[in-house]
Amino acid sequence: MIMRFIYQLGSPPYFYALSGRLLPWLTGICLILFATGLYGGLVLAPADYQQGDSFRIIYIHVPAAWMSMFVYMVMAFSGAMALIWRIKIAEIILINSAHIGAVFTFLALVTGSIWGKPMWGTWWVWDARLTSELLLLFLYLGVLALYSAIDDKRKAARAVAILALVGVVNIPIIHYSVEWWSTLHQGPTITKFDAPSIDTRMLIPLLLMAVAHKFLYAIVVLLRARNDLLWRERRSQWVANLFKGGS
Amino acid sequence: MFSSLPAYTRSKALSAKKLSVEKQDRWLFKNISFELQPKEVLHLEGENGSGKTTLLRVLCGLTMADEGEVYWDDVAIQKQAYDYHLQLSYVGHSDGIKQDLTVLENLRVAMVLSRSIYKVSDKKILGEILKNIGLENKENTLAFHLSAGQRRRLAFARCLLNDSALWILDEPLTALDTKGVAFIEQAIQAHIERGGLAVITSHQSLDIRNVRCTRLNLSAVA
Amino acid sequence: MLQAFFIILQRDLILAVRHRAELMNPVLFFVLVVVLFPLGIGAEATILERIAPGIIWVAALLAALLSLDRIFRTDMEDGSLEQMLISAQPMSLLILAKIIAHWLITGLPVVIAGPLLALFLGLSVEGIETLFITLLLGTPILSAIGSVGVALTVGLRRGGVILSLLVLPLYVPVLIFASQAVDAAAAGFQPAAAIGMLSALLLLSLSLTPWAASAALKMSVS
Repeated sequence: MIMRFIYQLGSPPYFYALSGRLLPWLTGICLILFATGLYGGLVLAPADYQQGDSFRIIYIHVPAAWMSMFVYMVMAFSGAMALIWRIKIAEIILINSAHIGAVFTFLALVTGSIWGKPMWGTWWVWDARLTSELLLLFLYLGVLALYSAIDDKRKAARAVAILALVGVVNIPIIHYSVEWWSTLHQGPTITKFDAPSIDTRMLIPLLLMAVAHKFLYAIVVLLRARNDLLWRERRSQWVANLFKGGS
Repeated sequence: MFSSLPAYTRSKALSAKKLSVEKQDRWLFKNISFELQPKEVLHLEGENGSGKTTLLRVLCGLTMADEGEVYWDDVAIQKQAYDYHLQLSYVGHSDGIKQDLTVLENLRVAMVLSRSIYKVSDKKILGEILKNIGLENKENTLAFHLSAGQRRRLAFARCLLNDSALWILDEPLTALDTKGVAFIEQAIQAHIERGGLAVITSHQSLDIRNVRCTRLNLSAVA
Repeated sequence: MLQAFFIILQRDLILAVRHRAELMNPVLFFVLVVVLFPLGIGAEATILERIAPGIIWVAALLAALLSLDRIFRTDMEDGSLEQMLISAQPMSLLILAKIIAHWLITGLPVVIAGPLLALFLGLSVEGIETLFITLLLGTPILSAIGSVGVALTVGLRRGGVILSLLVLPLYVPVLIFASQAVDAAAAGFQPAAAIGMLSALLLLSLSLTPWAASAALKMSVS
């Protein structure tokens, strides 16, 4: 039954119709989550006793950093689907996720460095987490560069799927090695974010924001995928029907 | 010179069902179907860019068709890649010859890759094959020093190294002189008489007698 | 199967020897990059000794990167790669042979030259010993990971820049563990942990990358 669902989802007209129905709901939920999360984080949560109000950037920084990893996992997963079952939708999700993932990673880096300025006094510290994030950005850029270099887009999708799978095996290794490197060189770094001791009033908005970011990703990836799909299938009958009836 | 060879033991039917290949969001060809029995030749025709080479590569399993399947003995070739490749000899656009290896070294690599029925160290067989392709006394010449026609014949030697029942030949006659053309024609004729199959693209017509030759024009299909 | 492994290994080594001039390029590049550092930083012995492991390893990474293209490029151009893909031999095994050949041709000279250069940079004896071990364990990883990158980009007209973008981030763990090990040894500590990590990476990469490279090559050739 799951296989049948996957195959059905892989059919472009079905995917287009389903995503069209989902999008308004996703957008609504996303807006509510962002509103409550931001209000909770920026207004209700108390200021940090050490960092004052500057800690509030975590409501963007931490979800963006989580998303940067999450999106790569989605890429690897759709890459596997694209390679095994040759599902066009999986290929499209894969490459459009790469764009969004790169943006999240970049956002995490920028907010991390803005946060670092009041905390460490410099814009950039070779901290393990930031360095891993930087390497992750390079992995994303590699995926995007490879995709744009191959003219045949179905072939490009397969190339990128392989690369994403290779990347997903390597990310833990890279992450671990960078951590090893940073503990050797800097001694214990200042922990930015001590999970167990965090105040609930700080934590709940953070979790809300994390879920809100996931919804944001889902919305953007669906919008982009729908666009991409229409373009690729522009010669097919179902796209022609769509525009004959609609406009 | 080929008359002494025994008939192929594992010659089967090659068939294609509704093969379609998309290039740059357009159908290069669509719904190509055919069935080829042992002792038959399929001659692909069509203008440049009509997808002949792509179709050959699909038949080899090098390129995946966007729709449709290729079957060897009614089993999809993807499901029996190893067995299928044992039965297949392919001479493509590029020779697959290393310029900086000698004729003999090139042959040996090809023999091992195709799991040849002959032993790599068997000097007698190697000498015979070289004589067949007209490269006797050239075994220690670098492929770089061969003429285009000689290189083409060396590439063609891959078909003779093994008991492969299916030959897929992309423009086998280019760069060959009349003697070379006659040699290839004889080789194909003998191959068919042994029960083999061949899929060929060629601008020139092949002179092969007493053989059922089906023609498939890709330009017409598109 | 083993015969296929060895004949590809032998083939690549013969080809490398017949291009003797190119054989020296990667190691020359390696030496040059290392020599540039004292010129750029200044010849102060304490600084050079401190950064010697990093310099040598970064140079080794760049030298490997520079030479990666040869793993598959010429085979792609002359059609040998197609023949390997449709051969009756497992592609990942052939790729493993090519990775090892590539390492013998480009990695081994660096393994030998590295400790000599370390001497010029004033690294201690313990450091040099460990450097040799890390180079021995680490440079094959560079060839192995690199093979996947080349397999993905070999069909592209301008694959070089993309290749470095794909491969260098994946080289980071090798760089870190290797230079940490040498650092530790030079400072009088046990480098065993980092060397253990390198060995694990070596086994992992040699067992996994041939599969990935094989899938990537099928994509590139299609």
